[in-house]
Amino acid sequence: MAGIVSYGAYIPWHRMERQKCVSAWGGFGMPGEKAVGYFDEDSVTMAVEAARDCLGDLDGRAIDGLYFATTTSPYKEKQCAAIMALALDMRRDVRTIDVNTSLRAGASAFGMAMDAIQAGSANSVMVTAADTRLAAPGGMTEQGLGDGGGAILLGSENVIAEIQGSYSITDELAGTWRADDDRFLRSWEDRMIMDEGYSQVIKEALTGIMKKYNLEPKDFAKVVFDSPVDGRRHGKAAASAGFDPSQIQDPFTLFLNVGITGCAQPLMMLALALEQAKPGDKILFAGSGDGVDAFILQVTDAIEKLPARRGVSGYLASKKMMDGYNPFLVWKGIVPQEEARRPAKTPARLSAMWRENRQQIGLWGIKCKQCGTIQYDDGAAATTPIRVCAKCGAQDNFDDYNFANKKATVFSFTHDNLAPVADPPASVVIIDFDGGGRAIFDLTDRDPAELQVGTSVEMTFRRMQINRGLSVYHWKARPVR
Amino acid sequence: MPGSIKDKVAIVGMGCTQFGELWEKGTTDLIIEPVNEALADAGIELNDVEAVWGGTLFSGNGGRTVSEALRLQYKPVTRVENACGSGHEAIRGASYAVAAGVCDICLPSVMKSSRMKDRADCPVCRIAPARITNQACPAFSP
Repeated sequence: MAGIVSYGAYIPWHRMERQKCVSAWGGFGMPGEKAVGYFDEDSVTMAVEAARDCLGDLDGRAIDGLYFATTTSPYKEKQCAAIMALALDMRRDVRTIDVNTSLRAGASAFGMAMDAIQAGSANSVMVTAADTRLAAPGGMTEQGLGDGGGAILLGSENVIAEIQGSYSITDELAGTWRADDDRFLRSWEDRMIMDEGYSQVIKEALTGIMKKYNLEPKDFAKVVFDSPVDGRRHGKAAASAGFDPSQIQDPFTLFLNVGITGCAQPLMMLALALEQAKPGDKILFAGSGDGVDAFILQVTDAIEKLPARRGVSGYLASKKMMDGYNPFLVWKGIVPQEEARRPAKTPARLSAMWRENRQQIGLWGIKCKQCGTIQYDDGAAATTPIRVCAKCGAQDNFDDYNFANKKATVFSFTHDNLAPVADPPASVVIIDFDGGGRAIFDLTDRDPAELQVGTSVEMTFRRMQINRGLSVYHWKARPVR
Repeated sequence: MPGSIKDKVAIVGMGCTQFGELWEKGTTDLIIEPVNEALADAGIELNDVEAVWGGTLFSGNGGRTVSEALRLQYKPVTRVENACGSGHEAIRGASYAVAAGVCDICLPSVMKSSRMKDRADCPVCRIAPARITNQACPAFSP
């Protein structure tokens, strides 16, 4: 039977008090804070991090499918899951799919994964979702939206929650939308889209799936589904389907600390629910957007043996409050920065990116077969994988060696206040990997004052630049927290 | 004769990459492959080389383009550039070092790729010859 094998989440380190929006624009401030993806983060990097949290020590090469849900893809034409499969070290014959445009995309990808496993065409599928939606500055929507990602690994063995049923409805109402060339979210009047949209379809789907499987609200330990910015609507929708407040997976933890994370929200709420779930719990899980996909989950004993992970709780606890509102505008590219008075950055070369994609996106280095020295080529001068061992000079005689999950220690560092970066100084570190290998990387999610020789760092997947529309991804170091 | 390198320098080994549209090859490959061939041709090892001249236009900055590719240690690398004549500049510099008696064996390594990440370039120089020079052979006398 198809079920959930593992879960994970990702929340950016930077958070902004909603009051900062009010300080900038005036108006009414909503409570809490929102997670703000750094200038080097997008939906691809966040989904990769959520999937890594979900994988833990599990082998990415054992997974048959990777479905990536987002409404904020960096590409209109070009699949992102293919990039992510390299970053997550998945097989060449993994089936990758991007699921886009609907806020239901996360739940829909979950349903597609379930179908593939039930049909026997896949033994396991990673579903990962992330969103970084923007609202035009100055409005309430801007305060409500946040950045984040969730990931659920589905499979047929060692499941921590069985999927016992599913039910979908489709409903055509453009409650929120972005046209092909829209940067910012559009919406219709709240009362109408809530009363005739969200509140109706949630009730219809929750009651519909219970009717289909002859279940009642009291059979469930938790009901987990997405919330609009106005969280009171969430509680009312659950109540209209017969659920007691004690059964509702509270949306406020995420709303007050992260914000509404688009199609990733249901997966992040499910991840949080699974952190707290006990064997025997029955969970009603749903995600809405142009209708609803709903699922019945039955938590198994295996959940108690699941290794620890950061999950939503871990990432919630690790944060840096932003000093002001302006960096948000810069990081999101809403307001341009003065260009550096220096030559432009080296442009992206597709051929070099292609030759080095395992090294750059997969963070693969080498271990010399002759002398055993572990090495990574950082791509600064190189445009091809390593051909010569730096220690013994052996040529093309190496084993592959992956650094993505290796921790490291800062050997040396610099903070460059002149380099053209969105959040100066540019912090660059030379790090020694546990187990061997020394390499130079950018340091991200850092407080310059905290960095020292000896600081413990880990690797995180980030976007280095966008050039001619090409998003160039690589890894950066970040302090372990 | 003062001011001449005639009869003071010789090419003792040569190598060249495959010609073609080599999408799968980067600068590193365009350095390593002809260098290997030239070393084999001369019957010496990379360690026997005392100094290196790297000639290229647009395909990399500084001597590290060559030193990192070959993982050279403690070998002086001089990077020269003169558009499509970059290769000849590298050979000329290496020749002078040999003629001056400062080095016995020098390696001019010349590479050019319009397919790597730095910049596009003139297609004439996309090949990558590498030559080894030493003393007392009349074959190389500009």
